[in-house]
Amino acid sequence: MDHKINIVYFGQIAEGTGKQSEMIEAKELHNKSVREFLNQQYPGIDQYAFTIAVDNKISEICDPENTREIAVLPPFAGG
Amino acid sequence: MFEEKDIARYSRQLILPGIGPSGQDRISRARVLVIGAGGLGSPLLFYLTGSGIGTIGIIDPDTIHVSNLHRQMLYRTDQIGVPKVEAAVSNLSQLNPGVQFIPYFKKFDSENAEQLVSEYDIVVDCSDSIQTRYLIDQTCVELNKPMVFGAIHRHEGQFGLLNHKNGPTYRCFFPEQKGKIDTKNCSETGVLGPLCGLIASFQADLVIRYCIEDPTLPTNEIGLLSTRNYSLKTIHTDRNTHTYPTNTMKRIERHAFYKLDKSDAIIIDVREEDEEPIVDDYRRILIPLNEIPHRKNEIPQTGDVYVICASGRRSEGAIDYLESQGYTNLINVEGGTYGFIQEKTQNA
Repeated sequence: MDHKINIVYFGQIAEGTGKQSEMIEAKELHNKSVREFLNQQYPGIDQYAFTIAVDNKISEICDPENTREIAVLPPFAGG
Repeated sequence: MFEEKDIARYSRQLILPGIGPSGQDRISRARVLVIGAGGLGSPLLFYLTGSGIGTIGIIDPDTIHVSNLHRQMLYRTDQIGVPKVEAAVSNLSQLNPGVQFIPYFKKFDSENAEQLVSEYDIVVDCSDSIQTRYLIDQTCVELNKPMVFGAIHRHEGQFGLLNHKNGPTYRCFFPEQKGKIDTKNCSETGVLGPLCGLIASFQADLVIRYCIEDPTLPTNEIGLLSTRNYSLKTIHTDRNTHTYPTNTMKRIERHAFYKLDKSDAIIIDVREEDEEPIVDDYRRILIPLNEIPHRKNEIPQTGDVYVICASGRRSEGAIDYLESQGYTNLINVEGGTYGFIQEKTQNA
């Protein structure tokens, strides 16, 4: 069975994608960065500030076949 | 200093392993600066005051507005219009007269940041602006002070102890991304009071545990809380090196903007089309924040151009983006349309 990755969206990014999370096939991240994948799936998302965590650690790089979860985290403004 | 007469007041935390008289003495000698006395600052201050922190500095430029009261339980209806720091000190002193409070009725900015932070042991970020959060981060790094940050977006919150024992800073988790559109604050997106209380409670817990030198204190992680599904996730990173830029954005204070002859002024309003408060005292060019990237050719690149939103936060984000596109003539209107309305009311 193909390996799947759970992508979790937070804050304004979740509102932009219309999803709290989604499962993708690991092969969708072959030969492209997480940011490139997100920009292709959700055009315009790159105009927002966000950071990426791969298996709960901040990283722009992921090994798709060994990744379980990617979190897409915008900085929050409210207080 | 912790004294015998205080044993009864602090008895329930004194008996906790790791506190005792020596831990309480550390708490009573601690100096904590709280930046922002709003949604997060309000519940946080209750817990810090109750715990017996020796000195608490509170900085906030706002007065109490009726729209604050659903989540800022530190204030009362009869205190509407009173500076938050003044009401906070008055109310908190009744909770614990043993705490010394130092109120600062002003905005935390690059002019006062270094002086203020240098006078305290630890800084608690309860601000409602990403730009302020980056300034706090930068100042804490420069002065080697720990920072407990908290931030909210609708039903989600972030918190963590940063710049502690050479651990990561705010920028290690959220590198500054010039030219990107930042998220909005609570006055623009809405928030439920209990989330503020939850995030502020985590922040207060971190501050107290820092004060007692708790060896189990996390130093390289932040928490992400969602009340949608009651999930709590921790995200880790290591210390990185960053360039800490100087904020050179031009600004106009809200009273000066109110007095400004606006007959020929170019004013860009980055709020949504029907967003209140409606202001018809001056002509504006309405370009909602999200439309700026593809409508920027409507904004002149010469002459003074004032950029306004509801509070001054989104306009900062808009100017950040436009400056990355080569603009050098933009002026942020501090306090936004809410500030303008307040000035108008006070000058009526």
